[in-house]
Amino acid sequence: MIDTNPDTLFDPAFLAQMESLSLLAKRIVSGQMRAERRSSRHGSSIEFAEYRPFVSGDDWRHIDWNAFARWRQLVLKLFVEEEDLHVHLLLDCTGSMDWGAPVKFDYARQIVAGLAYITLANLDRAAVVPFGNERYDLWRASRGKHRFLQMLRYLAKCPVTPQTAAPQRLEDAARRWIATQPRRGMVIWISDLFGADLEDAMRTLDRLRYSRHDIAVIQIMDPGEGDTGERGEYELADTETGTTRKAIIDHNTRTEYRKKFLEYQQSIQDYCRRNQIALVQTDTRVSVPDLLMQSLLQGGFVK
Amino acid sequence: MTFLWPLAWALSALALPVIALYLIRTRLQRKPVSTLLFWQHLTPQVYNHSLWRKLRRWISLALQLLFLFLLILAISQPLASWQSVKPASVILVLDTSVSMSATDVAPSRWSEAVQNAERRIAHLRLFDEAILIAAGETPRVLSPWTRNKRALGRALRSAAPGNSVSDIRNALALAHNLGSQRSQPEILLFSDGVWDPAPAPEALKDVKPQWVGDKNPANAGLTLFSARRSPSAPGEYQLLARVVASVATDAELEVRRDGTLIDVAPLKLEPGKPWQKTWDGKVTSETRFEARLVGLKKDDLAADNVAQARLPALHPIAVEVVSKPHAFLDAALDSLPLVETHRTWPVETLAAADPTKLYLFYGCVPPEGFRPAAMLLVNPTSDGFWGKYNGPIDSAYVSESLRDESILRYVSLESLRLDKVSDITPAPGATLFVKCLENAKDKDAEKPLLFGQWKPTAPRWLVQAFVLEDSDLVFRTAFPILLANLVQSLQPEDSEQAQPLPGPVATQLKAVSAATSATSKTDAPQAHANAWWTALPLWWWALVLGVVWLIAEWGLFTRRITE
Repeated sequence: MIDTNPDTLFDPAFLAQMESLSLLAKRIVSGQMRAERRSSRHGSSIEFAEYRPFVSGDDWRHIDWNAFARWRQLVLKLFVEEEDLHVHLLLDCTGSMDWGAPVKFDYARQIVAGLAYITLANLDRAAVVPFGNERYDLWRASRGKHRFLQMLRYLAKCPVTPQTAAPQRLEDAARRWIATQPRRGMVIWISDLFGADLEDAMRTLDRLRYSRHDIAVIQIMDPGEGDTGERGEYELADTETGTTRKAIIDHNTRTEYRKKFLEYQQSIQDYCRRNQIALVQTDTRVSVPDLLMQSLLQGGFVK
Repeated sequence: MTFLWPLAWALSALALPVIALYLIRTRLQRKPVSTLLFWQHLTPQVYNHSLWRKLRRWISLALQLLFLFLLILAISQPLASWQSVKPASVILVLDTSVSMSATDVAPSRWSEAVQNAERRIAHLRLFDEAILIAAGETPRVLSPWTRNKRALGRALRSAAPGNSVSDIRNALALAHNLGSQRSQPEILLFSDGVWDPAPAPEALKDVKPQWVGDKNPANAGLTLFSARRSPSAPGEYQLLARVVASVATDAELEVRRDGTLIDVAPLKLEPGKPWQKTWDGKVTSETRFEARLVGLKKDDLAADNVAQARLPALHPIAVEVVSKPHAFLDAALDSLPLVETHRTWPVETLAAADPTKLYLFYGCVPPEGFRPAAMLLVNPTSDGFWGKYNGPIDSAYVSESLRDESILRYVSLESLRLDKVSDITPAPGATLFVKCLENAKDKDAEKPLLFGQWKPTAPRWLVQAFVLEDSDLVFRTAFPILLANLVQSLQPEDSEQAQPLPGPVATQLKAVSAATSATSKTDAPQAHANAWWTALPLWWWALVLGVVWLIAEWGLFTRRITE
């Protein structure tokens, strides 16, 4: 059962830890960046970016006459445009997240809250996307710590997708979100990466990459998901679809299951390493502040 | 097939709850999982399990129903067509020989025999009857014919092995007699085959022996330990011990007199070669002797390791001489130790009979009705309880003498010269110790010379049918010895044992040949060891099977193991 009470889901102790975590985040990023992030677009800041040839219609005030004196060619001096970063927090709301002890979805919401707090504390914009649950409105990109409490209430009320006949395709959810043309920025996907099939998660990451976002992934697992549990004969029930399947769990089955599970985890790691996607694989035994600290230190989550 | 208790088949209704419980139990346990992604890839393996795994639960139900069926079958007591429905009569003969106390099998032969008998009793059907006989020195019915197993068990537990070897013949005869009242009785003999004497093979013909005991017992023990006084020298005694072993072994024999160690004899015992030793000594007071075998490496029977014997004290015997003073007679009596002589004369002054005295009438006869415990009449010349006086006989010689009698020990009368003998017809029942023949007549006319009754069970009397002066007996030592024998016979018994020894047969612990040869083909003594389980009833095995199966089922159920 997922928790909808913000007071219990995000208790004062948790919030106090977020505050200290945001200070750590500031120390980490202060040497290399300010509150601002460099954009790939060129703008009017004082930091030089590059030269480009002058073409008709360009502002002649930006012509670098010193360069003209040297090269006898009109060139424009471009500067890096400074803008605030959009951090899109994709919260997996599929039914598979409603499982485990503690429930993975509760754990994921705490991570989202932590990341959002760090983002807002760094004067960036944070958006929360209920990934896979289009019936629930997304939290549009906001800036300022004063929006944090509203965000917590939003997260507390965020539900998982009701049971469906077939497992949801994560790729479709990504496609629908990209269709909303979100502003380019950083996408942090908090999910168990269980989709319609074993390649669904990677297809989803492909779509996010193609939309030219910076991507980071936090994969959440319950400790019990890597093992079949006690031996015996069971009727396995999928929490996402309600589908049942009879299974005999014995030593061989258990070994084979563990093998499949580890192979899947490895394939995710390989994919992310190949595509330079920051990945943190964790289980719900790790505390959220520790996980966030690990994410900050590991890199990829801060640019 | 006939069932002795067909109502038991009503228990078949138990199959319904068994099936119901089984169906409840076989419902799969629901287990929620976050995704079936990985299980979809395992599906072929999950469903391609062995046939045994798929059928296991059905086999489990089938076995449970089979167990229920077997249990009901056992309770209903089926009888096959070849089995008799008539009540069986079982005669249980339990050997109570001392050898049954042997511990060559754990815990003892007796315990094993009792266990075997208990198993047979437990195997009795409701309408069977049994009787229990203890085969001791004399057979004893411990429990009469009964169908009550509890009573039989009580009687069985009340029995105990004796302290001597059984004469099994009487017990078998009693068993056959009791069995003759029943049709086709079953006689079971629980024994180790150590009997003395051995019964004839015919006596074991219809008997089913249930042998107990080891094939090669190891035992050594005392088979004889006695103390007796010398008949010729009162006060002197002789101690005799004999040791027998069934295997070669070393030991020591400790001999104590009144608790004081007087000898330790080292023994090297060989099977079939008894060891024997005597000790001599002199003592007049009551004395106890004890012999104890020590240092035995292995000893299966403890009852023959210690033996005790007692010598009673010697007491002076009072002899009342009823005669005129007689020099030879007085001298002969004075020469005897532990004799106190008194004289009474005339006979009319004789006081009432003293049961502790020996009366000697010489030249007279006892008054009418005078019957002391022991008396010697020398040449009575009148009728009396001793017989009829027929007159004198001149010149006779001794023709026959019972030298084996204790009163004639060392007494030689064969060459006695008799000038004058009284012809007396002895009273009926009198023993003729010495006979004589007249010189002038045929041998057929033997006359009693020394006769009477000298058994301790009745008043003793002895008649000497001649006077000392009419023979040359006074010149011989025979008469004093005769007097000494008479006095000695009035002393208490020589020796008595506190507890009788088992004897050589029991000490050897070997089954007698007649028993083994009669039954060796089918029921050898060692054949009992691996046949105990055959005596257990069917329902017991069904119960064991059921319990084992339930435990296995419970284990499988709790762990839900299918391998």
